[in-house]
Amino acid sequence: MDKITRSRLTPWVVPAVLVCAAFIFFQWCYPYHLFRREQTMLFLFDSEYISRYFSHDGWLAALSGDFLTQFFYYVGVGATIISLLLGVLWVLVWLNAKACFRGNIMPIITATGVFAWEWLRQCGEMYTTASTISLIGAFALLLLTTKIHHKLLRPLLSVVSIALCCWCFGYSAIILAALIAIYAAIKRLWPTLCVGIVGIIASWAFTDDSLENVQWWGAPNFSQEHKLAIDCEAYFGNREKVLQLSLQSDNTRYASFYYYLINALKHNLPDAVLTRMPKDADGLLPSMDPTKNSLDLSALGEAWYYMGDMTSSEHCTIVAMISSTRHTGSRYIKRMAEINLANGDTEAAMKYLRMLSKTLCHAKWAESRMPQHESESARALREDIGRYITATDTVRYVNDYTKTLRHLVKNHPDNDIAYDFLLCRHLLQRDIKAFIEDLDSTRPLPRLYQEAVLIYLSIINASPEEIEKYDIPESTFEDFYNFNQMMSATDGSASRLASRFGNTYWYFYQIPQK
Amino acid sequence: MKLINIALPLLCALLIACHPTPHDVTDTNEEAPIYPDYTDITIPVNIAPLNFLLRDGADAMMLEIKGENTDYVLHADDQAIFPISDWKAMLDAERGKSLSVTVTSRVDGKWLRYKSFTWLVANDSIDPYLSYRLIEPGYEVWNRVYLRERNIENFDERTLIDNYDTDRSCLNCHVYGNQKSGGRSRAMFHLRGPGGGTMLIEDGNIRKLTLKTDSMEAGAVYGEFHPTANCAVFSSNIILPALHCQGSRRLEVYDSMSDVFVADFDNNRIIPSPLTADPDVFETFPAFSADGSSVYFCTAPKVALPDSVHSLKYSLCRIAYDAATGTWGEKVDTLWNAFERGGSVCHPKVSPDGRYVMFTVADYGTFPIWHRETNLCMIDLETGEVNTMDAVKSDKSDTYHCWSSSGRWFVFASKRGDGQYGRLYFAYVSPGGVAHKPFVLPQRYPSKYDNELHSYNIPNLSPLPTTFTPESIIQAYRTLSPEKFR
Repeated sequence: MDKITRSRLTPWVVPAVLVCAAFIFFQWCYPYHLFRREQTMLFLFDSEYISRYFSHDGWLAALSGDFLTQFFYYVGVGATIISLLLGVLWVLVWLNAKACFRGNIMPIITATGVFAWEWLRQCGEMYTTASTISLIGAFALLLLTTKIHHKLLRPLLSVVSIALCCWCFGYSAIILAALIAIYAAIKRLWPTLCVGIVGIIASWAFTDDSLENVQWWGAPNFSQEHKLAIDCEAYFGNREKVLQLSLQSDNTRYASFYYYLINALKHNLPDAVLTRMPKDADGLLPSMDPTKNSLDLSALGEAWYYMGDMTSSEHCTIVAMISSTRHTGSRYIKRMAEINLANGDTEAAMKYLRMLSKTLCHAKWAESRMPQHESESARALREDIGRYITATDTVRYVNDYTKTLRHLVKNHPDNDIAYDFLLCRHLLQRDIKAFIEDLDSTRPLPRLYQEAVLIYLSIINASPEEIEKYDIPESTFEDFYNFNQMMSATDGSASRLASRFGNTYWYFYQIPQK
Repeated sequence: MKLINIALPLLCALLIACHPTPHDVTDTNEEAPIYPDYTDITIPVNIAPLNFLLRDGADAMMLEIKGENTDYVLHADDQAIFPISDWKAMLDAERGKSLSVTVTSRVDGKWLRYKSFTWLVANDSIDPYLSYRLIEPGYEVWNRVYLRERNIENFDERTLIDNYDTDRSCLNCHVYGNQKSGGRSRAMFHLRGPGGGTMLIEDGNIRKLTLKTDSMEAGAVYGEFHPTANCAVFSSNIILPALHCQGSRRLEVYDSMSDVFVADFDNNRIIPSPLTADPDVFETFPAFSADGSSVYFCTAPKVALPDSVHSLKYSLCRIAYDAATGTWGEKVDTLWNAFERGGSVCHPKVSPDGRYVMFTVADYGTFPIWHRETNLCMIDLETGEVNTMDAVKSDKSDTYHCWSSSGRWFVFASKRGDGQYGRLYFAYVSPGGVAHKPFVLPQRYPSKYDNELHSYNIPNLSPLPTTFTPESIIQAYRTLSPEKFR
């Protein structure tokens, strides 16, 4: 390849390679951040909704950004859109840089630098597509402005460009004004330089709406990506994937919570509850604290949803929604529609379904749940979720989980999820008395409950008749005897007990946890 | 917003030009499926256009409005949006008269003409300024809260205060008003959190008050200005939230203590009464009579909460108050006995002529926002008769009412519709005390309520706009030290 061909190809090969790299990164290394963005925004095709954009600076960037972000719902689309936008940005920066620098290298380095900066900013959880579009708009206007060589027209066009950028693209007008000033300084264009300097101050003052949400810097956060992966896979209904991701995580509270929840849904909570850290009641079912972040709150809402406590679930979902960056989100709206449908509150459900029916990506979902057009699968799902809703009422404090869970179990003794959460909470609180009160001894006892019952029986010094009430295999008795023997022999040495009994409730009950 | 003002009429004109004319029309006896429900209502002559949309899947409609001096036709898609000048001219021409509205819509290519409905244009205007709180209904928490003021003669709306400008503190709540009395324009609201206080605005001057003394368990919550004197009556409450388990009952809020007192703004003095601060009784929701000579409030004997919340029932009571001397009366009259009537009263508000007290009745409790059985009632203070206002009733919560200064209109917050998000409704009260069917606050775009994730609550009508700006409140919030009361 000769030198001329190479120099002609380089400006296109570099962005092509960078766009491919960005696509690979966002598609396979960092996809859940993009899914999350779609879940926490809503774009309605409605004149009233769209008119809201016009009352803010940077309306065009916000409108087009949100329009594009809604498609992040589909696998691969988010990565495609982001990488293409970055590609467009690279080309525009390169074209602008070419006007300032001689030779090929500096324009490519400058364009690649801006590309990298924007890529890093795109790694922020709530970074908006609108921010990138805003930047693209600014560089496009800069290109237009610097193409004019007329002495009088140039400063005039600079004013128009900055004003247009403020109005349509928002915060990037500051960057545009600064770049105009730099360009003018290099080229010694003094009137244009003045316009640029005044433009910086003016755009700072007039782009307060979009400036408020700008993140100037970003970096990949892979632990957050992992958390979002668990969250998104739970939303997509991929329970096995959630379990797998939870196990890969270093026992964070969030991963453990989902690990417990999925095991509870598989009626396997008693076997799972002592296998993860932290082993405490708040790790099993976190308290409802409105200061928690939106992810934690919506996760808690999921637990109540499957247990049939629609009030608590709706409470968590609403608070999660209003704590999220944009105070809205397709995902929350969908969940609230489902909660109200399960609850038989059609009017409230219709509020949310109507909103979703105005979207491009969720309209079909909403349509299939409208009471008059409800699909078979939607009906089955609604009935399945609704089967544990209580027929009687009680009033409880938000974090009085014992009262709540007891009420759920009392109304539906077959509500195994609530039953296991209730008993496991008691056990993690070492409240054997409450555990025995709520234990249904007519059911088969999983090993964890057998171990807890043996502690209770030993505490009360139970009579043979008392012991007969519980169906506990001989082997568990033997293990309990051996545990007690070892406790005495080792003087309660945690390390020596752990090797043989570390996974037992007896060990958890007797040995303080780190 | 300027873009909208230009684009919307242009768009309307374009759409009108494109809209088809009905042909082969089939008459139906069905009610027109319009949203919001503006059928068969009484409207003030100065109200903004009642824009609405159709819920029948129509892609075109023709609207015919006929009156004694009116023959108006509007072509539209599924949303009827009236040009404001046409609307004003039409209502002006039909003062005190009735308009017949007929909707013809095209659904799946077929034209349907629905049963006509009426708009009775009352001669009485409504106070043009409406302030309200806009809040995300997050049960017991909040994030973004606004106080806004709307000119209900058109669609102009402005933010009075945004809690993001005051460190996200809750604009909590309950006391906000604008009244013209003795030549003074007054307003107040509570700003919670550090740096907060009760913001009292008199003719544009802002004061920040701490309406709590060391001997009081809690600060001021619900309250109302005296009609002439420079004081206000408040309740101090410790408020606790709890959740219901069943169905759509959602939230229960109750007090662990509550008392009623008067705050004298001239002397920074709290004036309590043993009769409104009984430790065994909850006293709350105070309001002055129209002449300021007595205070209406709600009382209930204490019960164990939250377990006995179903037996917590508030009666409507009255006690004399002399603003000139700052002295309370020595006996409490019961006007509406909760145990005899089997309900619980909240939010008494006296009509400007002093003849009626309007209040909310729930089955039990003191927080009717999530009580679907809640309805508004009105007691005639001359006859003692209770008017259940059947035309106003709904199957959802109706609360937080406020009278217009003429006494012919009132506004209230209702969750009718979706049951989740509060909307503001206006209703007419005839000189004989008959309340008419209410209608929701009109919006420029009728789909606004469908898309809105905020609740409208604590509405207040005023003949004048407020005299403060968001900037003045922010400055007062940041710079003023709260005035202490003794």
